[in-house]
Amino acid sequence: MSVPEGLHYTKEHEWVSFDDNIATVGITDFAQSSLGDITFVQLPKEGDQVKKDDPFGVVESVKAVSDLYSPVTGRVMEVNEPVLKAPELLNEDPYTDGWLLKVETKEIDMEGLMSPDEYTDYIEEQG
Amino acid sequence: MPSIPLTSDEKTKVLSTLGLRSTDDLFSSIPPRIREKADIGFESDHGMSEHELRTFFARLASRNTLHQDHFVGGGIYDNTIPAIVGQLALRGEFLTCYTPYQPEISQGTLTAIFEFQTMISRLTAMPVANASMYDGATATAEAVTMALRLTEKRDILMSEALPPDYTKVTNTFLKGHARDPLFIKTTTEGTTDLEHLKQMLQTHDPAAIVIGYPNYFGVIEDLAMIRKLTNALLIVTVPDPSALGLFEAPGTLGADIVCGEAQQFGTPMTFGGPHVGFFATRKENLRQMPGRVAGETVDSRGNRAYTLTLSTREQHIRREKATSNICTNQGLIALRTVIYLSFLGKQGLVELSEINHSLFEYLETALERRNIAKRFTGQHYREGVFEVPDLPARFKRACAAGVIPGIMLGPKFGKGFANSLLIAVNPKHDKTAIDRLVGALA
Amino acid sequence: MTFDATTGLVLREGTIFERSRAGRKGFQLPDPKVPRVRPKGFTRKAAAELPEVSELDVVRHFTRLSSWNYAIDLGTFPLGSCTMKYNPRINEEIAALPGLTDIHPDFPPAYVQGALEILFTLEKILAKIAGLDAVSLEPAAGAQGEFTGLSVIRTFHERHGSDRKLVLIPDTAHGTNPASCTLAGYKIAPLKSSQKGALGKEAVDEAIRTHGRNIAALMMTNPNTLGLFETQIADIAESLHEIGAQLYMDGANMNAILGVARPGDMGVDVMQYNLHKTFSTPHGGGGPGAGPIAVRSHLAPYLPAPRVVRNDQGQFDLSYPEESIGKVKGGMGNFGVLVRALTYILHHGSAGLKEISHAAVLNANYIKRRLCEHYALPVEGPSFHEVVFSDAKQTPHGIKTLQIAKALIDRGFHPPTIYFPLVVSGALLIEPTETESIAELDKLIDAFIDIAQLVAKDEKFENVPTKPIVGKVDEVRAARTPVLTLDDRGQ
Repeated sequence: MSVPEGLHYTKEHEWVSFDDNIATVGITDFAQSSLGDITFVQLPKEGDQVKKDDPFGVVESVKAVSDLYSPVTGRVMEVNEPVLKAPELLNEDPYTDGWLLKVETKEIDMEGLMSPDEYTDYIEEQG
Repeated sequence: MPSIPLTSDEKTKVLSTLGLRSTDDLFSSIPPRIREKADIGFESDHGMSEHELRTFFARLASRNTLHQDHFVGGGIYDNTIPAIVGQLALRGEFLTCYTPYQPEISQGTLTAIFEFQTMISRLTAMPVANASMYDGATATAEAVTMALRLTEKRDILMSEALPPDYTKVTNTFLKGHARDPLFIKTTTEGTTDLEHLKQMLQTHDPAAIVIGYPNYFGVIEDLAMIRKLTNALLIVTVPDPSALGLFEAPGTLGADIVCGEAQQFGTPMTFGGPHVGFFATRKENLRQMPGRVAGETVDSRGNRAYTLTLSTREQHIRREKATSNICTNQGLIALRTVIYLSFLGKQGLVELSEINHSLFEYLETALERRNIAKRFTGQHYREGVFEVPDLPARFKRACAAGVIPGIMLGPKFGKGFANSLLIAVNPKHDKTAIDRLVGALA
Repeated sequence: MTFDATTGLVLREGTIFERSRAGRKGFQLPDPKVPRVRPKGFTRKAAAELPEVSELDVVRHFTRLSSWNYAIDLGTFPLGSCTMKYNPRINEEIAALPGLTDIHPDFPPAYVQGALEILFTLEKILAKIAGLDAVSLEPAAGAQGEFTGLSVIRTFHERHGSDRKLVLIPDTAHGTNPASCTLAGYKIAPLKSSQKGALGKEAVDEAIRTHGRNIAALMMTNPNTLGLFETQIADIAESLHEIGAQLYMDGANMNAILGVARPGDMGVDVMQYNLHKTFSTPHGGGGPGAGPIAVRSHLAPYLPAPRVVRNDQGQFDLSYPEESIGKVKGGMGNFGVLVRALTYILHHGSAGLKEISHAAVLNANYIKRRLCEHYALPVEGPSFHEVVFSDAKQTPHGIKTLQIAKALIDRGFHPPTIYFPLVVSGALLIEPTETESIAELDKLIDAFIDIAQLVAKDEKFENVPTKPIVGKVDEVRAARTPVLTLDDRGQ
């Protein structure tokens, strides 16, 4: 299971990276592989507000649905449009081409976020 | 016991394998205070043979008086049903199969559902349709709850001229959302009052507007005009889809959801059910649509194949967040609809529509000649409200003469309708039958 | 070992539209013998593109399609929780009597006395079997019965000035239970079942301590979806009644306890029947069904209207009680389905119904005994009409429930219910019903054992099933690029 360095992870299996006050959000390799073939992604629109730990969208496979929880609070700057048309990008490449949102945040709140090592331990516990 | 193949030898053997003395022991986990009371004895403790059942039900069936003719419609219509519909639908592979969860051994049902969806989509001119609903009334109620989800608004405007059952069922569904619908009045043409609608739109921002097409009074509504008046979702419910042979499809006129009842396409009236509702909408609303959907795909060998799809909307996956609690579709009745519409065909539907329309025009002229006039002045299709002086007495007389002349609207719509009779024609009628009705009523 | 499945003569067939030829007319409509006229306004510009085919085209097309379906008439259908028993054909013959099909719900009651008597009789019998006081036959399906029952409960509470918002639902529940709650305006509070798979009174009492009089009802299935009888149900009912809450029982599994135990004696206030399960009306590829509800007398005033009543002269009529929740479906329920169910009930008599449950439970326990060495049993305790296994013995070999199910297809059987109930990982829920003989059950059991033995030898079951007309269906593609009508093709 791939857990790249330089990213921060949540218990809900999202990842986030920060570039100044711009946060990029996606789902982890573990999340995509537990869901199986992803068939549908629902995301907020540009300009919408997202709130830390609140649901902001949905990913679906053939027989499962999973809410997406935001790791940050802020305004959606950009949505990865290609993912909406080709949800398989999330299976193929969850960390680069499969990113979901870019969010403008006022402050970087690291509470509840895990380092790659911590997240690796966490998913091992989850089995 | 007719349906239990277990012999007493087998029973003894199985019981000994299980280490039990009697089948009663299988139920030992039920607390005695519950088990001791379980006497369900009803009149026939012992079962009836097939012969006895035939006699028993023949007596009951004969207590239903089948008149020579009837002119009862209002959303459920008599029709002539081709012999092949009933015979094909009785094939055990259709009758005794389950919801097609295992696509590899359910391609027959799945293909038929795909054809049903295609036919409903083309009939209504809407891009997507589901695998069917219980009936027109529940399909309408589901359309309304879907509109509440889509718009997150509170109010629902409903035409007063919808079939009363559709209104009642929608009401029951809305109670679950702690809402009551608002009603739009009817004009002297028998259409939804657009002036009243405009007033309502000044004070309300509704999630949806529900219009019957044709409405309960047999009148064709001006959907294009209603579409122009509002941005609310336009739900068009079609209790009589045979009208869509002659009249413009709601999808072409700007409807957002088109639902209705397809019973007359191959299924007898059967005292109100089982019938089959249909449900169609625009592509962008697909994820909020209730009910099962079949989709075309390929199998591991690259051949065309069908499967139930987009199931993540449904109760077995999404549970309390599902778009509806509906579990299945109305499989066998949807199949009857597909068989009927296949055989009726493109020209047949237009002809069916024309026959109904022509019979009604003839009826209308004949009744007017005997001073029985239509209550409403709008464009009618196959059905209409007539003002019959002294209706209750004449209704009785007609029944005694072998004709049930229609539905008396007084009990459904109140005092103003005391002499109003809703008369519907159907393809079993001809000139003679209508002349008989006119004679019986006049 | 040989099994019934073959790749015998199966004919290919496109959709009915592919048989269409422009200008061909099929069905001949009667001549109305009146002048043909068309409307002037609102007319349709382009006719709907229905197929243009002959009668033989239609017959061949649908006969070919039918040959691709598995059905009870072809073989054992051990689909847990669905009660796929044989559908006696006398039911179909009776339901097709013209006196029962050619009647309209708006015919005056005087002319449908037979139909009303059928409804009246069936109501009485269903009340008796339930040990409850009144029945509504209106709901069109089990899920509609749930919605109706919950609406009755909500109305009851409202009329008693109580605004309760919560329904308790155990984790073993059918998905329709929570979905019906949402539709009826309730929020869900989930309850965990015990390690043994049943719902304990302590869990309910705990929820009562937390939520108190905000609880409108508890919905439980009995026997539950693990095939176990809820032994504490009567005590649970008492706890609920103490705070004025109602006990709703999902009657999907009534086939296990006909004439053996009555919900009314368990403290149940409302239940729904699934006539297509328990009383053998055909499933028809997903409907029509019927989901009547039975209630205790304090809830009777709220049942859907109209109600069928009998006057002193023995005449039947319809009444519209003011307190009724209204209607949940058009017409008088799925009358044709109700006729079939009454036929079936009278065919068996009350003594026969009891025998049905005894045989159904015996068959399930026979399967359990013969398969328990080969498949893991996730819950202990005496099984009723169905038994749940899991794939725990097969997963170490890399084989999961889905492959077991598809391998069964290649042996000539419909798979059991899989991945339900959700509390069991990799569940295989088997319900044989009483209409399968021991010989037929042995065939099914042998197929299960064959698969288990091959798994133990590391057979990988790749690309199963191989024998049906289509191979493994690409469900991912179906969901990613939905093609829901012919007009979606190639878009």
